[in-house]
Amino acid sequence: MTTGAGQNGRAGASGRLRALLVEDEPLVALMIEDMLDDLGVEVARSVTTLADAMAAVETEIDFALLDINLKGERSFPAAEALRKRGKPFLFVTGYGTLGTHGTDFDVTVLQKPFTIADLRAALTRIIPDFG
Amino acid sequence: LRGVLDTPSLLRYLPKPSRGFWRGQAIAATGVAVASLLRLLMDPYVAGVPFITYFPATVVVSVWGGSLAGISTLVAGGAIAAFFWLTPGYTFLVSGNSIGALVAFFVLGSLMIFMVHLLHLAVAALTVAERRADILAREMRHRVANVITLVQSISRLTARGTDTKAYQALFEARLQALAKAQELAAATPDLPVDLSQLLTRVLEPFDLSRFDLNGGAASLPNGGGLMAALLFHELGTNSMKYGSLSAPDGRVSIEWQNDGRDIRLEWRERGGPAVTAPARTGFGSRLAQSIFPPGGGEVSMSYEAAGLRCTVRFPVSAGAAETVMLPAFG
Repeated sequence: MTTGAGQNGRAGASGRLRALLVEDEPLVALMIEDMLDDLGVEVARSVTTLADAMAAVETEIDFALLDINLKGERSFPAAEALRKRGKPFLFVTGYGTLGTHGTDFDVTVLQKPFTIADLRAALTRIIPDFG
Repeated sequence: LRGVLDTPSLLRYLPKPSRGFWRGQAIAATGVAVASLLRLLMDPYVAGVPFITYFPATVVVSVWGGSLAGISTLVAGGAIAAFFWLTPGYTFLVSGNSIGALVAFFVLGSLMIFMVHLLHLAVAALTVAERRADILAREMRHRVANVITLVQSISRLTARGTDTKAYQALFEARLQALAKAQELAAATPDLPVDLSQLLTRVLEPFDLSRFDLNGGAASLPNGGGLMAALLFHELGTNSMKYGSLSAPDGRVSIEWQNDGRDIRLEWRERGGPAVTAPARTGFGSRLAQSIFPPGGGEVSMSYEAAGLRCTVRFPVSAGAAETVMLPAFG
């Protein structure tokens, strides 16, 4: 296993970026996995709850995509943990930027529904050497 | 002008009654003072209208200061008018024919205060209703965005490994299943979706007479109905293509039990060709694998000589229920 994945470093034996996906809607998660695969990203973890997300944050990942609303729970604690670990992340939400309103996160928000081009652009924003 | 006056937004110009008893009383005192001053100034020009300035004062004070301030204005204004301007004047001992005027003043004034009070209540109710409508509209936008994303997901996943022609039929049929589940969920937005109703609606295109549905009362959390509908639709589609429904006498029996914690459902096909596990992971398999989070329920397929047997465990206990006002995901 590759260790010490840097802030924006490329981990994984395959040399592909490893993503953590937090999305509670199974079909939407499958779609995002599919899109990430098309973009050459490996989905290292795909979880649906905040508790699983908190655990997955500590694993070997390079960045994360977080759905904000997880069946009534907010994914902000996972975002906080990612920030502490220095891992880039972006929010994916049906609320648009409204979803982060009232929090101190100033990060990229990808509004659903989005295209693969939107996803690529958002990833380029959080990972400067992406693509 | 009529249109302008009819506009509910006009009500927004109605000042909210000031909060606090003493503030209201201060407004009442000001109102009584202004009304008395005006009455004094017009005294040389009028006769027989002792209360004329106190009526508008009561209304204006009620609007700005609330009902209690209005009552104070009515009482103080009435007393002042009775003392100075009711015959015989400069005494509270009003003469017999003035008592009627005094009583009429209090009755009419009370009515005015009451009407203004009703108006305030109406405006407050309107404000609450508007806020509610705002929240609902925002929630609806969110839900629509989610459904569009879901449709996008179905499209993308359907496009995986199918040619354009097959894609269209598959995508449209899946969209149908989604629409039916959505319709069921929308009929009773706050209630869970009844399982047997859901099955009946979703399996309709596959000829219900070939299904044996058997199970007690069971309902799925509103958000969970969509995924279940898609899953049953996939099972139906696959059965038509490869399973028991592909044979003329093949049947599908669906049985379920609800023990309060879980709903256990068994989809069993009979009378069709022998089935084998698919070599390729298609939409249905991916859906079946990901429909439930780990520990949140399960789908298992068993490809038997007699036909496919699929068992589904839906959690119905705590955690499965939506906590948001309207069922939402995303």
